[in-house]
Amino acid sequence: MKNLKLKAARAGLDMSQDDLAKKVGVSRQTISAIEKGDYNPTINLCIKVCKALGKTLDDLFWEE
Amino acid sequence: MTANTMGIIIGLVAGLIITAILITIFNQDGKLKTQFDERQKIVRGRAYKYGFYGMVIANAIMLLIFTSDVDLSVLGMAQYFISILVGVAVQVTYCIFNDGYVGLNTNMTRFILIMAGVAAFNLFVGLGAQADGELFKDGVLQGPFCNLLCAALFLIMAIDLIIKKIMDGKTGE
Repeated sequence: MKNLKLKAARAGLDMSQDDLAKKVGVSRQTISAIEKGDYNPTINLCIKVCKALGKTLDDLFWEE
Repeated sequence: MTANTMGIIIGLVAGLIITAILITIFNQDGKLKTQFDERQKIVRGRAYKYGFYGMVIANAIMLLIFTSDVDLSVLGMAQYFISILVGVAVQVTYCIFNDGYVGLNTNMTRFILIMAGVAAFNLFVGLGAQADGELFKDGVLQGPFCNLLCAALFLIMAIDLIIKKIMDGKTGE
């Protein structure tokens, strides 16, 4: 399932996938895979992404 | 054990020792080692698995051919080398198409130059042997044919990388 919340949060900060990838220490393709729902990140990476975007785990990774 | 075999073993051991010394000297900060993120590590794990399957299947096919009437003796030592190359080709191809081949800290210019250099060296050795008439001996392909196979592997890698780049260019972000 696509992670549109992550994409929206990233776009909201005017960050590219590459910017976010560099900030959390992964490849751009990994961020792309998370957004497309092709890859389920570990909790450690989820936390890094949340910190980089100033969001909580619920904001980005909790499905209603 | 022939002198040729001893030479190969000594060359391999010497190469390993020199590589270990160079890595110890130049990689004290750990930056020389290619770093991969968590998804890439998973991709690489799968790639090794498929590479292993590829090698086993290639070996099985070679075995089947051996048991048939086809004479493969013309391949010489290459008959043992082909299945390894198939395994490596599968591993590399899977890695490239799943974005697990290029590390986070890979300097692409240096990477391409090294790969092109190794490919050119192998091609040079293989074609040099062909030009000197040393590729065949008593109707059997000699060691330099393995260099040509290695060069072919690098060509496959280059084609994989180009196709992947085109695919990435089409899909965008």
